[in-house]
Amino acid sequence: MIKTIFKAGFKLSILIGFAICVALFASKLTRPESYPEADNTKDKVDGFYALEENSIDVLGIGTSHLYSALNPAVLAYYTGLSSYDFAGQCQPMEITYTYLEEALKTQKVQLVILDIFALSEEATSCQVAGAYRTSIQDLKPSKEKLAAYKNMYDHNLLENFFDVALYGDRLAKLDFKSLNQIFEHDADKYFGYTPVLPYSDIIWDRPAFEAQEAIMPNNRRLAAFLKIVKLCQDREIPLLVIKTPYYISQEDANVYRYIWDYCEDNGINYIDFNYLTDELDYQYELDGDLWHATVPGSYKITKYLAQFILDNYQLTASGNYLKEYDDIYTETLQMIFKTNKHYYRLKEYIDYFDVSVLIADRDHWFSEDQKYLVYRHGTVYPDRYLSFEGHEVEIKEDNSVWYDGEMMYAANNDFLMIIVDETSGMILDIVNVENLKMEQN
Amino acid sequence: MVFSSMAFLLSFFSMAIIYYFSRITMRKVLLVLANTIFYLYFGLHGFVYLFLITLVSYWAAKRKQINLVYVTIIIVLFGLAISKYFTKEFDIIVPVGISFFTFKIVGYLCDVKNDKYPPVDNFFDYYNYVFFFAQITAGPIERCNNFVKQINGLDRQLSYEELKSGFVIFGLGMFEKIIISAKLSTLANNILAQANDLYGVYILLGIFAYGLQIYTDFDSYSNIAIGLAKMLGIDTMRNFNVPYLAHNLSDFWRRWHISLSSWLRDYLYIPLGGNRKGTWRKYLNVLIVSLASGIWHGNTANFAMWGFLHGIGQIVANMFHANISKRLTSNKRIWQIIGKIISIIVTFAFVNICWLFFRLDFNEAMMCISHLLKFDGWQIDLTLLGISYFEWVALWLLIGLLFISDLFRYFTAGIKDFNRLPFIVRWVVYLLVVFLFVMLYPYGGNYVSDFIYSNF
Repeated sequence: MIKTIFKAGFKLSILIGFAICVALFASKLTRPESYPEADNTKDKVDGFYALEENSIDVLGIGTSHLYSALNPAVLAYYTGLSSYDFAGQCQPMEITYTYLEEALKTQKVQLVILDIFALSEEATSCQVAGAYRTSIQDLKPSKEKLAAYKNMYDHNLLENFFDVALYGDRLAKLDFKSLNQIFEHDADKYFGYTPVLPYSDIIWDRPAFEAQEAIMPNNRRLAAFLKIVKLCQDREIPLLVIKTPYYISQEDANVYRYIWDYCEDNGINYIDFNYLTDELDYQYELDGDLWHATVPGSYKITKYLAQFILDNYQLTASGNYLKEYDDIYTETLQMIFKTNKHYYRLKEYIDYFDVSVLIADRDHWFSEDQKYLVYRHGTVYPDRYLSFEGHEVEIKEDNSVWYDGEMMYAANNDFLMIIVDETSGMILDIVNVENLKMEQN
Repeated sequence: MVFSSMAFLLSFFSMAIIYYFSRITMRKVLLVLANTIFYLYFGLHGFVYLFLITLVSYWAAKRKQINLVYVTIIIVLFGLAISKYFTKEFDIIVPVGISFFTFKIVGYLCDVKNDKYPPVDNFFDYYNYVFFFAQITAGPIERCNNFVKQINGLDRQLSYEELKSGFVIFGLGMFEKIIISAKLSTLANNILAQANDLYGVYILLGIFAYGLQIYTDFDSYSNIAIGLAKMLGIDTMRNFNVPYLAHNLSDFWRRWHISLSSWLRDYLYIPLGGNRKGTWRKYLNVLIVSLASGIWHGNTANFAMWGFLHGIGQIVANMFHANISKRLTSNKRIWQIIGKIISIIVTFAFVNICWLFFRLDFNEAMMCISHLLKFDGWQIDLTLLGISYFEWVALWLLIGLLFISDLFRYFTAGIKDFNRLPFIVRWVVYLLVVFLFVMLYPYGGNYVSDFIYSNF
């Protein structure tokens, strides 16, 4: 009887094993639309695997704090370095270590930038059921991935291992394209970066804080951080530890103080942007919300990082993906300008970024270096900017705006502002001045 | 508690492990416990009623006094009649499976009365027969001597073949119920719920879907019951023998719900005279038995109509066979095959149209038939059916597999011949079933769903 039961059990276990494999396959099939938000971890992981081997100079790792703050296009603009934000939403530090291990299998990076939000207590508030799983599930099968599963703390077995249990009804909506998605890795358009647009146009001050003492982080999280440090040391890759600006609590500030001290003692560069907001002129909520940098905010942070890297590291730019970064850079500027309709903010951005304003309604608040073309009542002063970086901009009598022979804007309004990126000659925004807010809040 | 529920599966396999290592006495005790707990799950009232009539019928059979047996039969049938037709008047909770265990008990008493075999000596053997969990909710309506003989032969080690066959039948039954029947149910419900507004090919599809749904639902239950029993070393009678490949209605009733039709044949049709008292008496007996079958299923006019239609259909088919078909018989094999295919299709169509009276009330069923006749082409808009293209393709794939499976069972001895197939063929089937089960499982839905026939 025992032999019979053993034989039956053995064959049954083969069927169960097969069922598990099919369930995992079905889970992968049904997963793509599970997380439709912009910070879709699957897209970021997939995008990383779509990179050519050894094509990235700088690797960003950490949580959403990292991938909303480090804009690879801006980094490339100022340094020529190619980079990727290989981070995950609410990603626990242990999983960040797994990501680093995974990344180093295929990329010989010259610098690792680690954001340490995952060391804080605040981070645990978003590490709810599913946070570990969403960070792990899209990695390729490996012993590192298996080890990461062991570190999981949300152990709802069925839902965490088998997405199909949650999203099985998607099977009915699948098509052949979905099947192909399993086997292909699509490049992530923004190289892991997630542009966050400002929620509102309110400007307010973050309460002041001060790192009163250095408090050691949770043991488990600290151990993972130390493993990351050691891995970088073993591979002789410089590590740059950062903390992006957010509404930091006193408790978290104390934890970061500990890390700051540790980095100083161990010769690791550390930048805490929470102490640099004045220097960067980083304003809430335009440049950042409670947790994340917005597009203009990430521009400032990345520009600062770019300069820091140029001053402190001797990295060799590989020159990869420059065309892609150029396109994203232009798009970044477009996003910055389109989301800001404050009169004074616009001036500030026009001064800060390398752009030109082709037409202005009030010339008294712009510089007098003939950078701006003034158009009023059918008269153009002067006319030498009509042809701009190979692009033709024409304003016709009906106030319509034509760009390279195509009509861009048909409003019949006297007061228009056209903002053009000097580098590419692309029109970033066309602003109807009457819609601008004229007063500072 | 349904067989597809996790609670039942865990309980069964836990009990089975102990059962396998036990001797006969312990096995009988385990069966008594399992049967008791299973039936108690449905409520104490039902359990008390069933226990009492089990006790009474056991005692009546043991006494073997004809009048006592008749009185007991009347009491038991009276209980069934009250439960089926006067539920509201008496405000009673209908015991689960009453239609099935009543017939089991009546059949036993009739057999004992007719000296087919001696009364069961051991009360708990009889108890296990009546209460057997694998059969109590929806049959098969097993014969007592067959069951008792088997459980008295349980003092043996169960073979690997028994376990394997039982598990395969059980597994295929679960697949049939949870996947095939469920998908057909979705389609049938979607169509028949809006039958008012649908015509032609949609009604045809709805009839087809419901016909297959009721078949797979009931066949799956029977397979699960047979599989469970086999894993315990008990062979249960087969209840379905590819009924939709029947070439006439009489053949259909030799293949559909075999335990019920054979019960009605043995305890109603033959005592009425069967076909021994002339042609017209035979037809009358057929009609009576068909009506009895109809009202056994339910107490409303549509069930009686369903039974009546089957009775008339059998009579007409009999007349046709007696008077016309012989003139159409050919010696050529090809015409015989074509003739058989045509008769299978006609029988299938008739049976499925009759199912409308099973599912809908009389007026709705007639409306569907009238809508069916307003045929205006074969174009189907899936949005009207309420299913996606993927589900449509999956449905036809499953129907195809069902057809292949039925063809296999039609031409072979079923599981016995399946076990003789090459290892690779069997394992391709197993893996395909597992694959489809995982891919087509109704995630998020209620997979612990009732079987249609447990409502009777």
